[in-house]
Amino acid sequence: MDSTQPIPGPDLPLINIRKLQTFVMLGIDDYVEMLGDLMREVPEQLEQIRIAIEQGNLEDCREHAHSMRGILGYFGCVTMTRRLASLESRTSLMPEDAAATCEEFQTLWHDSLVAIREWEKSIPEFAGIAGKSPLQ
Amino acid sequence: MKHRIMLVDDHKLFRKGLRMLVESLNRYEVVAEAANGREFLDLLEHELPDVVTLDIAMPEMDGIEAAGLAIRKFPDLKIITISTFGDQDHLRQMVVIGVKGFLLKTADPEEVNTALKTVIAGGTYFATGEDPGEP
Repeated sequence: MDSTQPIPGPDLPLINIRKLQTFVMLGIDDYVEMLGDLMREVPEQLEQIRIAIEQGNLEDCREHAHSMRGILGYFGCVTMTRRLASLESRTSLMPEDAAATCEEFQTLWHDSLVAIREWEKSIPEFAGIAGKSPLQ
Repeated sequence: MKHRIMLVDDHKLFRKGLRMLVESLNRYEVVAEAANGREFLDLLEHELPDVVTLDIAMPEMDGIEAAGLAIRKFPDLKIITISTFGDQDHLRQMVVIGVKGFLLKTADPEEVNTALKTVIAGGTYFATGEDPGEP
């Protein structure tokens, strides 16, 4: 990850800190395991969404957006969750928008991970996370 | 003795997270997991938990159909629907079927605990209002 990326300000709440605090309670090992799973899964789901848009397959697009929204909401990725809800509520798809839509989500995902990494650094319980978290 | 919980959700990552959360509360043990309604019904033949947490949107058989069939066969079965914001549209249908609770996937551990405790004690717990996943 590019550490020169700016950290989102309070005007753009990419992540819900309160939600992420839940993972402090679960413990670092479980958190690291789940974050690793999430980081593998999101790009796969985004690719499925891109394919669905390209094919004009509204049902598949909604299904993947819904599934992704559930898990990203669970992780407190608020902005991505909102954008996915908007995608899920579409009544038609423009196949030519597939690449741009996915690029937008990839950027948001990258920025969300930057924000999560900054949150990790602020948590005393996670002081030993360096070398464990996929983000550090 | 710990209360026995069954988790039903097609999303493995969510099941894993919910299992960690539920077991961290020290009062509950996750005894089984299913990835869709059909697997859930099969599991019930071998394992009757104290509470089932059930997603709505799942492949093969969704939570609405599965809840209906499960409660018809096991009328005392306690089901809490756990789903994504926006799925409350299906809530009325689930209440008619006989589910005992509704939670959003973004619910915090305290709320999950409250819902489980309430439903195990014989009550109902239906989360309403805004998405707690929002800051």
